[in-house]
Amino acid sequence: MKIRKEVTVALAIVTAIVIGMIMLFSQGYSSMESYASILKYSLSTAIGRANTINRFVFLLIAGSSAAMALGAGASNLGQFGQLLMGAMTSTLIGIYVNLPSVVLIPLMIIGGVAAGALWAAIAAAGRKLFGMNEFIITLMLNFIADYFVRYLISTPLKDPGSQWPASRVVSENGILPAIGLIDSVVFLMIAVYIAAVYFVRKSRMGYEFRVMGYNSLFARVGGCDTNKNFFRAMLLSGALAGLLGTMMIVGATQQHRVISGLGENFANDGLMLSIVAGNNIGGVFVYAILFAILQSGATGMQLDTGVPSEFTTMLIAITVLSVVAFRSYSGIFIDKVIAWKKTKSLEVEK
Amino acid sequence: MNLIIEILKSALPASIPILLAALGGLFTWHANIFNISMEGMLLTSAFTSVVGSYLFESWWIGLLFGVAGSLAVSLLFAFFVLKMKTGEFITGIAINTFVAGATTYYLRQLFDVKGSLMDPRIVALPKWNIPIVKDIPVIGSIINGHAFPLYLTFFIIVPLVYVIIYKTPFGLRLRACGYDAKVIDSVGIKAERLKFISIMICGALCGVGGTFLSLGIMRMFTENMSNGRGWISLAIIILSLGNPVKVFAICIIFGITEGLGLTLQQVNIPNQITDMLPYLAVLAALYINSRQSKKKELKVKN
Amino acid sequence: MDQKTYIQMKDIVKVYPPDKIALNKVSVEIDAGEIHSIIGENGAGKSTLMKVLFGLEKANEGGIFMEGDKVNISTPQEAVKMGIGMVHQEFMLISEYTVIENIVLGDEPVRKGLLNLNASRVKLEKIMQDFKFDIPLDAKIKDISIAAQQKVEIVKLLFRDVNTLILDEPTAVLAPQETDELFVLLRRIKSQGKTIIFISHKLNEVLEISDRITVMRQGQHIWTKDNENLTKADLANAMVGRSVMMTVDKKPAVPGEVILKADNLTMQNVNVSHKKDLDQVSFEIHSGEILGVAGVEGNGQYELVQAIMGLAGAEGSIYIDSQDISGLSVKERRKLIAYVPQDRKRSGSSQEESILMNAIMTHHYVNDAISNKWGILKGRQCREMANRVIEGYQVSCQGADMNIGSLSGGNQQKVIVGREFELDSRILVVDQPVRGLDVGSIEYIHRRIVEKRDNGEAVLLASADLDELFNLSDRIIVMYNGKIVMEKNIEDTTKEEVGAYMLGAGGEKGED
Repeated sequence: MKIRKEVTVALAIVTAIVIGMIMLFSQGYSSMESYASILKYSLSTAIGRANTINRFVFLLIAGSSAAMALGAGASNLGQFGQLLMGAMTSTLIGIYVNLPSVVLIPLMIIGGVAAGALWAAIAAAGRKLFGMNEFIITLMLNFIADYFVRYLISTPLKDPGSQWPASRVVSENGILPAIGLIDSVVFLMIAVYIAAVYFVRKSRMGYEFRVMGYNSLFARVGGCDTNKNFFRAMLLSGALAGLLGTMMIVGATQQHRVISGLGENFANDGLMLSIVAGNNIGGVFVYAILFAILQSGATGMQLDTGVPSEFTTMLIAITVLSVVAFRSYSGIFIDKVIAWKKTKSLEVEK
Repeated sequence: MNLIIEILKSALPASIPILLAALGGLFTWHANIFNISMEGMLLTSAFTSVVGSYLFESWWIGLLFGVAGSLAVSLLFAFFVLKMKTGEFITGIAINTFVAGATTYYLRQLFDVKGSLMDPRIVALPKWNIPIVKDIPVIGSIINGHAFPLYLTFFIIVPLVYVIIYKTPFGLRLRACGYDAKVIDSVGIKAERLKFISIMICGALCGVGGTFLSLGIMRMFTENMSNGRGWISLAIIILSLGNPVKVFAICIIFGITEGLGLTLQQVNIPNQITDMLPYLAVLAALYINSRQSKKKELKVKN
Repeated sequence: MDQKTYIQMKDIVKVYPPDKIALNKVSVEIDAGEIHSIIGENGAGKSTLMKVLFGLEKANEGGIFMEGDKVNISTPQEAVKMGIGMVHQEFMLISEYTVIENIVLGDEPVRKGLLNLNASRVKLEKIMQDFKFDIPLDAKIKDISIAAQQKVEIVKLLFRDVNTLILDEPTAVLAPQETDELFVLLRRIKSQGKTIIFISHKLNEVLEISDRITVMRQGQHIWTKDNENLTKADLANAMVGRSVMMTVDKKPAVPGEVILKADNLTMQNVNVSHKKDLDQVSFEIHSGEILGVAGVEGNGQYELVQAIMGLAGAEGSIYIDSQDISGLSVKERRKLIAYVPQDRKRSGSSQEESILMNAIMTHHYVNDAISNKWGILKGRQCREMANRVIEGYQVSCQGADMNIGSLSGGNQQKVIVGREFELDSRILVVDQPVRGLDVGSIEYIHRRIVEKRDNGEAVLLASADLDELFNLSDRIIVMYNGKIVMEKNIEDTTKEEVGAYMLGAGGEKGED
């Protein structure tokens, strides 16, 4: 009587897809055609696949950043700000530092990662020194980083040739090449992801993080230094967000400059990915694939069938709700069935 | 001088959507629900109120649509959190994401526009002239002539929320439910029902707030119009430890810092920098507040 | 059916998810105006049965009859309407609210839509007079004693005009003298014509107070008898199904050198500036000795344990082997001290994780065998560690990957005890190690604690249960208001004397 987790998730996703079909149908669209074009544009062509893969790894790191903090019980909602500060820092380095690629790119990465970690550290320090709620600090720091970066790209660092607020483009040496159609940042980010999963699953500190995520008091009583770990988790989470921002600059398929609204949706998607995967970095993988397919096929669907691409945003939200609802409700439901069976079995005994 | 008056005059209505969302969120906060769906409620009602106002060329139908739209979001939130027992935080984020997608989607579907919807058919909320007050110099010109929900909020809703939470049986039960839902169940009241009511009240107040945003301050709808106001209202609730008077005070400070920012722009400080001021103010308030003991530990879990 | 049968519960079945049979066709009859005790060991189903009667739990099968009519009680509100009220083991009070707010909650007097607490005062004062209560109505719950809180719970029921009062283990949190006082009160309530259902596992008390006694075991009704010529042995046999030794077999202690020494520990109360949670507490524990710490809940025992473990800051010094450890972090202290915390769900385990994850806590940095020098945990060795706990401490489960939360309380506690006892330490701090466990687990864990003592470890045992303290301790200290008010070898004292000190009646500590 034990329904496997995978089955529950699959059922949830199917339910979400059906709800999406009903919505499309009620709007007078052909739902089959719309879904088919999502798949066609995201998976059937080489360019589509490359797009999907690119999107997937960015989502993967966004989800890992959120899960690194949330999985350790640290409420870091500041991925957006950390990502922006990372992107801004690496852009600055890429514009003003004149070095060959082999030095410049690592320098940009280090700078971006450090900036992301530092932005998270402000929140961590606020909690550690003054007992301020990190949840609010990270939230406010998002707005502050957003306005700060907007200021930079619309006044002192504005590209004179651009009509809209945007920074200048980084130097040629600050851009990683593409390998075929695949951006080489993909490999870098996959490597980072594997390292993150290994860290959380296998290391002593990762073990402490996980226990803290479930029960921080137990970890403390057991002798884990929960204060330090909290700080570390925030820093690592911020570092991953900073990396994500940097990759949006150095990636071959990216724009190599900070424009307004950069990375806005990744932070929100990252949070959803993390929580829907139970704040488990390893679990982010599957959901990131799903999100990536839907998002990269969205524009194609709009071209083919005229369904506005925002439909996929709604579909992703419905999928998330469906998965969490199935997960919590299947437990309640199964318990009820077992209790009923047990009661009946007592009847037979008599 | 005139400039400062102008700025303060615009700061007052600017604080209303956040204030209403925060007052609504107070109810769920007291019921111990980690509610972040105010953002989605505000955005939904900002959109549906414009739809209502456009279709019927009437502000009160707009208001009706706004509140109904927001209540629909509350129902959705309540259904998942209370019936399906999903996590409050993830439900909130997913609903906010859904609303962000849905408002843009229907903006295109219904009006075939992207970005903003402006139309002469949209009727704004009526503005009120207050006799006597309007003739007082300075203060009169700041306070007078705003859309009417502003006055209702300041002079009726804020005191009413205070009385409901601290002086009525419902408030006593609601707060008890927040401290320990088991106690409420043991005296024969369904904690779940209290939670449901609190979510609905939150929806109704956010509905007025969202309507005020699109039909009170402006007369249009823009994609992602709520722009983080729901999140800010949550921050303010946590800061105030659930006290409506403090919520009111912080919202006014928030509004004034926003106005202050606008003033500073006149002396050539870039607007993006001055736009940060309200958020810095929240951080400052948080710092001051953290010196006092805190009531609840918030934790983001699924 | 008997004429005077007031409440009848018939063939009640309750299955807890996923498949634990808490009540297996239990039938009980309660007469009007009697004090009816329901006894059984922890997990026998007596609390569950009462929760069904009070509408907190929904029975899967069976029915409830009042004065012969079938009634449907699915919420506490319906129970209250039928005149049934319950005082829970865990008090249902809001500690931030005042006494009067707690009493009227859910049944508030209203004037023009607003709360009107004063309207209830007259009625409350009459109840207090009739039953000789003495509680300050406007004090906050968090500021009054546990015994007073219990009285608030009882007044809460009388305020609602209930006819039947269910009391779930009311004496568990009381000192012996407070228990006597409660019994006087219960007899007074009975004399006013009310019915009382008294749940307990303490045989003496049951024999003293009851008119009739029902025994339950493993979710089943064993018998109901009038309280005439019954002995403790009769009850114990029926409860456990075999004769039990209520005492642990142990050899006399052979104390060695002093291992743990506390010197003038003082801890300030966080909320009240003039109150001290610990006030100049000093004691020593020798190797091969169990020191019992007695006290009414909230008198500093918990804080003492916290101070020793470094979980809360305190002034004064703590020495291990005459080395000052006061400056050490929790992490460093845990290398020296094995610790079984009192709340196994909140601080002793992580309920949503596997036995494996729970079993390697603390070992993960103390025990070099399960991790390498890079800080990477070795999968196989971790699993062996978990299996050693499971096998070595008789944890019944289906492997180390099961969630610890799905085990019974006794098995969860065995995992925790096993984990701690496997640590290579010479000091053992155990706080309420068997609270809420079944007799089998209690016996087992007690035996392992004595075993540790016999191996020469220094053991500190904090407990609210005097029976447990007298069974295990070699020496006992009593805490009152953060001070040690008595210290004696166990054979030189009695439960009555300890009880008197627990209530502060014994005065200050003697000459020293």
